[in-house]
Amino acid sequence: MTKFKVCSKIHLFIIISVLFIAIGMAIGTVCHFCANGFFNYGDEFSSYKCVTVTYYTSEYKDADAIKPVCEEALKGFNPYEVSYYSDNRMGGEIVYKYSTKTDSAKLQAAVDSLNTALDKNQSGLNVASLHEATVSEGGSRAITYASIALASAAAFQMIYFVFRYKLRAACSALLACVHNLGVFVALAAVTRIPVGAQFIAFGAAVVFLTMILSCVLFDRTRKNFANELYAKTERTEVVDTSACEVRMISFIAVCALAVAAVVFGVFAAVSQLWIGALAPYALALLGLIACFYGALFFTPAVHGAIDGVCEKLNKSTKSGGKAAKPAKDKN
Amino acid sequence: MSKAKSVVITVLLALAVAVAAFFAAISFPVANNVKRLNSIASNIHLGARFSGYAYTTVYPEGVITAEEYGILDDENKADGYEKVGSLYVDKDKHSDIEQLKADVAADALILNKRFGQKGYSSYSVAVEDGLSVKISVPTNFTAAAYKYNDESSRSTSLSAASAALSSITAYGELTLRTSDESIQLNDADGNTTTYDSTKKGKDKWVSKAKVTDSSNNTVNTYSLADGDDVAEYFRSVTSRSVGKNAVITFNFTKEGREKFKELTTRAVSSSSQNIYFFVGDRQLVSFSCTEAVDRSSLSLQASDSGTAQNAAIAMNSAVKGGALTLDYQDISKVSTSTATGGENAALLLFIASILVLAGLVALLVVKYKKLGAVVSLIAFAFALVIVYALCLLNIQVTFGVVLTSMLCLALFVISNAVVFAEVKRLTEGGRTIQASVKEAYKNVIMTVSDMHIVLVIVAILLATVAAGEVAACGLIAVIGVVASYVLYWFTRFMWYVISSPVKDKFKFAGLKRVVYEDD
Repeated sequence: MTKFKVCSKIHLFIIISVLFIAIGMAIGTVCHFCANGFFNYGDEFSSYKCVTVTYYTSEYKDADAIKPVCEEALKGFNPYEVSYYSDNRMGGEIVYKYSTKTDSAKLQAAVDSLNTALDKNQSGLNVASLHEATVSEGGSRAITYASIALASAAAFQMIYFVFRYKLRAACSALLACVHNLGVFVALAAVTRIPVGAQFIAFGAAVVFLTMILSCVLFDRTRKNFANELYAKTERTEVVDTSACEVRMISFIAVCALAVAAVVFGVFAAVSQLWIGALAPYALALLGLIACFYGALFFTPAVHGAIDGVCEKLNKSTKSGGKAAKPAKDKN
Repeated sequence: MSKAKSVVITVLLALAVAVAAFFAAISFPVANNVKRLNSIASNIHLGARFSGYAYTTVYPEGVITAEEYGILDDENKADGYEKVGSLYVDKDKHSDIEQLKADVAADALILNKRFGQKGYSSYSVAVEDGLSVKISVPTNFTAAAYKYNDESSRSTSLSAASAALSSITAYGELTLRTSDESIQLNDADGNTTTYDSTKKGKDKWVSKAKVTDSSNNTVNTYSLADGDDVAEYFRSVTSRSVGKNAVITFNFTKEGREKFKELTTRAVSSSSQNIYFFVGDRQLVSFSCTEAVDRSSLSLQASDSGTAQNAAIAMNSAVKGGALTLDYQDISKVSTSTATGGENAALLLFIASILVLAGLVALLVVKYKKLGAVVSLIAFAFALVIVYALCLLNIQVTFGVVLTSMLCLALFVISNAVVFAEVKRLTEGGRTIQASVKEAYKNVIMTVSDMHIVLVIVAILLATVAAGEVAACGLIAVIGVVASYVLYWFTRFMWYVISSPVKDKFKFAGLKRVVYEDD
């Protein structure tokens, strides 16, 4: 893997990336108009149906006492979230959340039968009710500010890289950030993994990791350019060699983070006993996939291409300058 | 450095890390089981996934729940309630249910914008059955508070959430009020006029907007603004907090400045000398006015940053045309849900973090042998720095924050991997280990510094410009990047400590000098 040359395959990577991002954007746009949004909004962004069960300790000691009655009546419906509230004295509340696709009529029938079961003493104290909740679209301020922060971060990185690594590396770094973020967004739109508020934080993490890996690559390239050993080697080849040298570090770093995300995901699924709990961790994995592809293939290839083009332009300018010299020389 | 010194330093470091880890992870009872010393980790504030939501449902006036309907007498029931979903609507108050639903939906959008300004890691505003609005915000409990092991912290977090829910859901317009029914005003010529507060404009809040006077009696308040729409006085209302000082700033429009000067002149002559800032029936700020105010902005001190922010959000919304359309019933209770990630989500997150760290240790030891063990110890110290920082800076832990911490840990490991690769390259080139280390650190200093400089500034940008979870990620990234850089140089020191006593200068920690034939 470490010997794989990427610079010569720049066209392939550009086609893959552009195609992928375009498909992601197209699917997202179609879903925005025909389905539930550009992304599959989940967690706090998703509307839901819920059954709220209010109970009093005079009849049911605690939530555990009333739970079997509720679960029996609501058997056949799969809540994606169950939450409990108790004031430890008078009683409490259990809220079962269901997706909007759940059949309201059937759920209402189940709630009616639950009410009959709960009101065994005809006290009218313990009541279950079905609610349909529409969530207002939120988070626009967080998204706006996060976008401003990410854009300024990418701009700052570019300015810093202009001074530290030259303009061509700065352009490559900026492209790497935009590309990885684009691929991440496209992956989220295509896979339809439920997106919650943490999606923005994951975007920031993608930019963060891209910057770390870009620094490692550009620094190695800069060193190799300065190395006498590569004085006569084509610059694109030097970039390729540098990419090969740092590939293992990038590979291990991304894989280690992916393993960490998997471990966290498994524990989250165990905690919630629900496969849907994996959603944020799956999103984190998508971000890592974007970084993996970007760091190992796209960024070095683009860096090589930009550097090659700049070098050719440089040479042609220089040779053009030489040709023009005699014309300037009036003597 | 002698072998003894090397061993002592290594053992001292290991001990320090062990002690810090003990207090970070273990909670135990003290003072004969009377008190409990909670671990640092259990004192970290958690996001909704790990500690649940604090939520409340607000109902418009004239809308009641099935429970409330159940206790009505038959006469009242027959009087005209219409069942909508699981709620009942008083038809006298709301003849057009569809209009009511539209108003509730519009108000939910306004509330959503208001809560969006609060910077929560996650929150939701949901319209239930088209007629009530359920608002959920993170409880911000610590693990100890969530498990009822720290009642004081639990009550503080719950109070903060309740205060936010109560203030930000304030309905009605912004009014500036006084408790004086009439105010005697003296002009420059010595003429006395009377400002009759009770007759100024149509003020429906008189009987609802009440304050406690100096004798602890609850009294009505009256408009101090001559019946004006005071929202036009202000351009914006903002809040700012530095350390423990929090201020609310009112920025006046040109006309508003003049009007406010007039209004404060009136307030100075009043017996209470107070101006109460109300949104609907909720008093958000009171201003003790001893002289007329003629400034482009007015800054008032608030008791804490949360209070300042809540009040500023509600008032700014009212100023910018975001007053709620309907009148709502007072919030009767704020409930807390269990963690959305499962009852033991926080504990399992902690265990998963330990496992990930253990995996990293194994990877480092396998790859770098003895040196890997030392780096592992420092990586462990890095994790402790993050845990202590999360606790001390009250950063709310969400999965985003955990991921950012992992990225910072990756930064630390990558920095070391870069230098180790350079050491390996130089050793294979024929240098002694000591010389390779010295040269390698010199060679990669700019790589590592560049990486950290870029990232620390990016992190600062995220922490200051972004809001909510991203800002929290930015803040922990600032700490993580700085810690990574400091510990990177500490690793350099540990290279020196553990490699100094080694007799074979050409073979160490899995590295071996390559001897060429012409050597």
